[in-house]
Amino acid sequence: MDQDFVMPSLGVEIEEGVVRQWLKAEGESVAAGELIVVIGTTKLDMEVEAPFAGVIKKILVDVDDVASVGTPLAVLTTG
Amino acid sequence: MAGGTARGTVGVDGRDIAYLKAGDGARTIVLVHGFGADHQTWAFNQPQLARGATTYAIDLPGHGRSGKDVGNGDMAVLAGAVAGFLEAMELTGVHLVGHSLGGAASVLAAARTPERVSALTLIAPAGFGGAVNGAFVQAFLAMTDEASAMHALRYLVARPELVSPAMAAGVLAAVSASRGAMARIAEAVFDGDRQRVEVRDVAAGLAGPVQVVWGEKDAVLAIPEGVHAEIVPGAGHMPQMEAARVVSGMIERV
Repeated sequence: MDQDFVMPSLGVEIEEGVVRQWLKAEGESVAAGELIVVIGTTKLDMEVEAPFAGVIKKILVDVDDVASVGTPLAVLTTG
Repeated sequence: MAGGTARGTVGVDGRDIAYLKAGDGARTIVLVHGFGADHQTWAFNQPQLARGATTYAIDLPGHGRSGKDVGNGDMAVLAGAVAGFLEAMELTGVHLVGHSLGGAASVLAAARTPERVSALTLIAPAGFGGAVNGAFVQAFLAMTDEASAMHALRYLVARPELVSPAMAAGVLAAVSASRGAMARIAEAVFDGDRQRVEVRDVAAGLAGPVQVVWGEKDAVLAIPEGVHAEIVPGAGHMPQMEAARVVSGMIERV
């Protein structure tokens, strides 16, 4: 099943973030809780954990692109 | 988050004290930032804390959106602002959470209004003995561009590569707008590497629980000897940001 991995809630008064670095590539698997992406904020950059396990099917937001909280960043194939 | 967020301002001792409120839970948490910072110090924590509490992140005098008048800039002014905020907002049963210089201010505020404060969490608090990194204070007050801002901020976190350019730009703008007020506070509370402020005995005399939290790699205020602290592995002087979820959990646990 495909499931969206979305831009997580980053902080109060922080509505969007920039993708600084993908720590996993398309085709790679990621465990729940494993670091998957680094998001730049107006404060410290944030290393974000995958909320669920899966294989990265497609990255939707490239490095240096900005996305709002809740926007799908990648599609993962789960279970 | 429950109850959303709201900005507000309240008059304390003739000064405007600004705050950001989040959540509407039964518990009350008041968050007090450190020297040179503002309520955004808690940006990563306030959403989690607001799930179970009404939270207020305040701006100390001379910081953020609060008034720039800091009087003589000493601890009485800062602690008075915190205690006055609790009084003006008529808050009781408060869990007061203070970072660095805001930790020292929180201890003194709790001693001044013990009937309003039920617990304290102090994150890398000033006033517990030991040295302050005077080079950091100097670099912070001297920042004039993004590069010098970045240089100053590198003292604060264990992994400086995570300081975003936007954070450096934001701090530079804040310091540029408040340099005089911040310099006056620094002069009143620090003397080179020496802290002029001492609140350890006052903290020991408080009735409620006092939790102390410290980053393992703090390069601004080293953990003083004899202080029992919860250590945040891998974090510097900003554990609430560097390990936000861990520190939010420690705050919620009290």
